Amino acid sequence: MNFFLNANFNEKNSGIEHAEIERALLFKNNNEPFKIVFQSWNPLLHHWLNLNDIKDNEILNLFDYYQHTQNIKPKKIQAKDIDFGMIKLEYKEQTDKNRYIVYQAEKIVGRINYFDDNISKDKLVSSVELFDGFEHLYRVDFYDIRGFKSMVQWYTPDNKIATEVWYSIDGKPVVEDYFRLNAQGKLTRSGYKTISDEGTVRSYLNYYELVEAFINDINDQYFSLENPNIFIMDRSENVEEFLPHLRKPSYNVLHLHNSHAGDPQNPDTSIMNNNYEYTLINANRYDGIIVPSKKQTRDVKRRFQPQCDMYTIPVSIVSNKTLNEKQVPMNKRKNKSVIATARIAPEKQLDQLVWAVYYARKKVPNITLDLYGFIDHSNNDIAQKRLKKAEKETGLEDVVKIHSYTSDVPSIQRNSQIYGVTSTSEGLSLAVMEAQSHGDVVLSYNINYGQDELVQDGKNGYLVKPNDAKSLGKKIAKLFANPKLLQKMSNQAYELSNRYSEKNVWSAWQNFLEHAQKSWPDKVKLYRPDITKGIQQMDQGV
Amino acid sequence: MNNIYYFINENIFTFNSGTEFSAMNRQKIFKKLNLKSKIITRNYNQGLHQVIRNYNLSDDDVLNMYDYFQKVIDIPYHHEKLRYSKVIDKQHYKIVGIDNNKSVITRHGNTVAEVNIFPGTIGEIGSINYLDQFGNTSSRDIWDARGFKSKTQYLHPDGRIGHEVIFDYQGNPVIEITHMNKDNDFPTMFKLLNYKGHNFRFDNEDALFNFFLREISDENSTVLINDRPTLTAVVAQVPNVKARYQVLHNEHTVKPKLADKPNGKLYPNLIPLFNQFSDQFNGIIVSTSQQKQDLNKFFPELNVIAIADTAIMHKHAPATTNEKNRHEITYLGRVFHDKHIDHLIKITEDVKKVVPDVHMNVVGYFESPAYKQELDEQIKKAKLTNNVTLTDYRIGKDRDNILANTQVLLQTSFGEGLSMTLVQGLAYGIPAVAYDVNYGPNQIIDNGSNGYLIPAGDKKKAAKAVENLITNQDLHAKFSQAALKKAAQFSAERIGKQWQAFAKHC
Repeated sequence: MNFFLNANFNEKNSGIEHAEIERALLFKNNNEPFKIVFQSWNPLLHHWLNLNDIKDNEILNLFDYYQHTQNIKPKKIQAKDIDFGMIKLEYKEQTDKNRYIVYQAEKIVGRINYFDDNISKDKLVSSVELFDGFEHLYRVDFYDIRGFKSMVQWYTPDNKIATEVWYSIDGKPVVEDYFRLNAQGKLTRSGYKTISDEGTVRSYLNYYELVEAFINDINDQYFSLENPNIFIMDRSENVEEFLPHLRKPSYNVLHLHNSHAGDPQNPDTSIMNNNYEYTLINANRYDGIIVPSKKQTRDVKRRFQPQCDMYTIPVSIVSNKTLNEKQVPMNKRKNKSVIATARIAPEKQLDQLVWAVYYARKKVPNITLDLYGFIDHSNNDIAQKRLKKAEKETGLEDVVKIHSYTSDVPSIQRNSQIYGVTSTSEGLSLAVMEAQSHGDVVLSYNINYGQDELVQDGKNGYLVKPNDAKSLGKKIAKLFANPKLLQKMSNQAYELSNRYSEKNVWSAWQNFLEHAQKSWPDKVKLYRPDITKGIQQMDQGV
Repeated sequence: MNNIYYFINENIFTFNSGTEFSAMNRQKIFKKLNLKSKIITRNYNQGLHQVIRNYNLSDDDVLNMYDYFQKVIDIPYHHEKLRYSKVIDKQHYKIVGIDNNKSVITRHGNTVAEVNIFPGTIGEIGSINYLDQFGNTSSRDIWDARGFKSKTQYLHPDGRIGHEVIFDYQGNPVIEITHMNKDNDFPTMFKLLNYKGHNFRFDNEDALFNFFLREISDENSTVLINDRPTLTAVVAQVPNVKARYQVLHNEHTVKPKLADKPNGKLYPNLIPLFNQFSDQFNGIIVSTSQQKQDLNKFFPELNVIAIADTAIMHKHAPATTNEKNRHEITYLGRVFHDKHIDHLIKITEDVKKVVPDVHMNVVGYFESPAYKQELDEQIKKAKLTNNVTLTDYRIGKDRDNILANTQVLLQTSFGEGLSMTLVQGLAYGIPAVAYDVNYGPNQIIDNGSNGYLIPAGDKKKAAKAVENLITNQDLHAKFSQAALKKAAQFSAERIGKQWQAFAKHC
């Protein structure tokens, strides 16, 4: 089985999740089995993944696994279905708060909260706060969107969480955690427990140990001497330490989604990207590293000289559907339009794109700039503040349009002409690849990694020196002044997208899967299964 | 006569008092009479089915409320051995035996759980405390004596009981109990889960018990006989029964000698019965006709029935006398302040002046470890360490052995319902010396024939009486014969007939 290791999935996700979903769909189209593995509890996990065409049996969540709720028929649980064990109840709805308050003879019995109507219009129950006969809030039940009571928080008399319990689909406690005061007097999660169907109770000192047990359990379940279980660490938190030491052999791979170096422009010498520091230092304990671009593969090899297998596989794919789309000529698009579909985040440096447009407009008037992406509020909104500052200084307040995150990126890209990239660094940018597949001409800083691979300078776009907004502006002006050149480059963008066709990316994955399979006999050669005989009770005496 | 009789009680303990003994005794009589009956207990008790076996009762004789909701009334006994239990994943956890009563579970050098072995078993799981990374108990699994996980207690961060979940045999939660008071551990909610398809919430255990009694009762056949004054209100409020009776196992006034006087004050726990719920009861059952008369004096309209609350179930070999035991005196019963154990010691001190090797054996369960220590000190002070022994609760053969070697039973309480031990003593032909108090001693002892009745509190006279009996062998033999004869009055046959007459009227 192929396991893609991740943490969580929500309405809005980052590039790692996008890449993972694309890969999942590619595997599915090629009949290669896979499970996307999530550690975090999330009552909407299946909802968001289903919307991305990931089916329930392709999702393997830690809590689902122990709750036996991986693949269940959804039910609609509404306020009327909640049984308080009381009669003569009165329900008062507060629509502004998405909830009902439930009373019996003026005393509060419970509060029923329901999912927002952007999730479901049916007022499906999301949580229920329960009060006892003396009006103490003693517990809160959380429901999964698929219609079952998933997790219960039990409260203390002074209104703090004491215990959290996850229930199986038939209502038995299966995972528990506890809150206790630590040595500093702070209430902290101090342990976990799982209880199996057979009644085996396992306890864990912390969440890490729970995740370790889970990964071991799924590795055991799918273990075979013939075919490897492959674990791909798309996110390595919690799993990176134990993965090389599972109970049974497995084929473990680190997947880089970003630059391995803190300063991607100095890949050989700069301090390591913190996200990959542990995994790269210990890279030889894994079986392989997957890198999105050839250039980064070369850099990783040169710097660390790892002895594990190295694979270059693009992190995203241009679908056959997109490749076969009718091409939109430049004169059918919004005239003189520049866009970026990226988070408003410091490393994206979108303020520099504003400057580039400012310089371009000096030569060619009426150029527009539209930005699509949700706003990263970290560091006191520094990204947004810089952007506002640039707009003010360039006087382009009315020209720069910031739109919130959009789920229909393709139609925006199909209606634009130039796509700008002014980031400090990129992986193999999914957004750029998408833009090109829709015929956008990409003008980008020549940053690591992938830009020089995606953008072939002078063919389907231009590369300029990093942080050189003026040069970027010149290129924008040049293209808008020369519609024929713009159209030619757009044609090339469409053409070169074939490099990332499903067929081409899949053959890179096939190469990887074949390697893993080839190395498997050596890995299992030394493996001996656990003792199973002679350990049960055999003397029947008292 | 298809009546079914439910004897309502709180619990059957490892150490029981007269109330439980009486109910168990009655259950055995009803069984002999082919009357359908059960002892109903309210409290959660992991060891109930182990304990009742020690009293020669079968699973059929007792119906516990939690068993009923757990659907484990009639399940096989199973020996869940820790070392072979599926509870422990031995590929990843180590079981380290500490002693016969305790093992710990370790992993990577951390103790993750402590297992208490079920008392009276070899290596069977009693309870398991799960520990967190700081060593706190986070939750505790309680196992039933019949070998299944019956309950999990989750603790609050301060170590007090948080919430409890009670399971059926398959491990489905069936009852939830919460403890949400800031300053005490009283439960604040009982919730039945998915009982007949619905949840039911209750504010306290008695409300749940009332619901349970309604569930098992039938207005055409159910007769509730309540042995516990604390449950009077609960039983009174079960509507769907044929009849309700209340048993009084003790005298009814705070001062027993004022039982028939207008200034006699009722025990507070009996006030609801007489002042509020008497209409709900078809009758009150007491042990002696004296108590019946006294009660009717003040409550002439009450139907009071006198049936001894204990019967002699088996014939015994009479106690024997030999060189070793000829000065052996016994007190057997609750060792509590109200039994005036200090008088027993004082009397022994007096007897010792004449009979230096007199030996008093005080047998029973002690009010508290502190009280036992207090008595120990009293004994030391009176230099009676060789003459008085404090012995923990005994039943079965041990108890039999003690009685078989007893020359005189001594009792110094100021109030009784009947005096169960004195009745049992008759079966062994043991002469008795007891304070002549309400109620019972004068029904059992014919003064000067099978024992002596002493004015309450007269320790000197009591000492003299004991002295007489242990120093005069002929007298002792005569009294002993009389006691054996007297035993007929309390035979299972005779008391069974009284119950049969009672049942006819139900």
